[in-house]
Amino acid sequence: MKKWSIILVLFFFIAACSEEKELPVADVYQIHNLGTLATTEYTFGKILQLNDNKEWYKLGDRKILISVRAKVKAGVDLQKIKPEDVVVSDETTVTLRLPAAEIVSFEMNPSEIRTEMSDVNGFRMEFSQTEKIKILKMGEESIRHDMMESNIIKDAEKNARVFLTDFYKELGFETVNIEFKPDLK
Amino acid sequence: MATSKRDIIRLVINLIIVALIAIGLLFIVRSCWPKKDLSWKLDATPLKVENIRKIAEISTVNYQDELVVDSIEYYKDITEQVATNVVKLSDLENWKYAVKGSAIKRRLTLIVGGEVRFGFDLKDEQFDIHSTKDSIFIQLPEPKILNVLIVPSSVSVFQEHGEWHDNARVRLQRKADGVFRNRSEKLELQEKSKAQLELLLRKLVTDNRVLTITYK
Repeated sequence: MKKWSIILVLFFFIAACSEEKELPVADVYQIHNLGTLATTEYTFGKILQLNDNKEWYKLGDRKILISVRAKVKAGVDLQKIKPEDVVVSDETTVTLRLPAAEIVSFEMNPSEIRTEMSDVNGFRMEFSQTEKIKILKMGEESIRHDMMESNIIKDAEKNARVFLTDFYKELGFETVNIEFKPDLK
Repeated sequence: MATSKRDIIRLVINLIIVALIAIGLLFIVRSCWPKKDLSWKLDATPLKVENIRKIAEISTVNYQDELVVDSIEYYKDITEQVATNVVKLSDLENWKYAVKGSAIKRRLTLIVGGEVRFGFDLKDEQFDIHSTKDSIFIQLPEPKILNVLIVPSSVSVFQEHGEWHDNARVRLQRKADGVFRNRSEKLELQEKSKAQLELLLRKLVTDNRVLTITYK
């Protein structure tokens, strides 16, 4: 009888440790004013490749290939323009000093994320959604890092120059000088 | 002295009890010990530029929010509940749900953070500028949602019970996208967008001419 009591206590102890979590309540939102002029959109594609075979104590390997696509917009933040950055020298000439172009939005549409292949062997479990989201987070970080090697910022500056030159010409200016401030980051 | 049958039975019972205690302790350690972070590293693969597009969009207001989206499947009947709970007892990931005898067959709960951006698409044909010596007339399209940004870093799995395919996760994220859009529209951010755009345009137009902005 004593032994069975120990087993029973142990059983309840196990059950106590594995209680279902309660859902958190998330009802806080924030609204901010922006002022970004996005002038370039790049679509990047990447294959995320992971080999989960590093731990010696796990019997079997797992590998997965996930294809992802990210849409990234770059442009200039017009909120950073100060009054002294817009100089009208005469009725026909305007000089504008713009902040350096930057990435203004990054989007990874869930519908454009696809598991291309997954291989699980030995005593290993299939990749769970928790693990896949972890892989996607690593992929996002990798894309955010690698995209800075592309011409997205240069293109954004070039297109912003064209757009704002046309804008001021429509306002009646004949000469439009646009300069970009150096990126201090 | 020959071992009696009774002693053998006692020995077997004791061995079973010791084995059960060992298994129990293993489960306790597994359930209560904090899980070590997985030390994964992605293999190096190239980043491909698939498309480049020239755009002209002014984002004027953003709305950030977070919400919980959930997908639950219940057992159809008590027979299925009992049978599946017995099978789950042998599953290292899901045995705890079987112990409780829950009526939930599987459940996926995500916490999704997102951002809705309102603004103006200036590639729209309704964008037009006219100027005279003492006035500037700018005609703009109505502000609209330019983007709903949901990225993996803003998504976390709160609970994953049972096996789920990718399409379930995508469906939940789409649901979150829809909720963000609806909530942002109720906040009437269009007027705020217009006011913010006017401030920005006045920053760019610094001469003494009268600026008139209209929306189509």
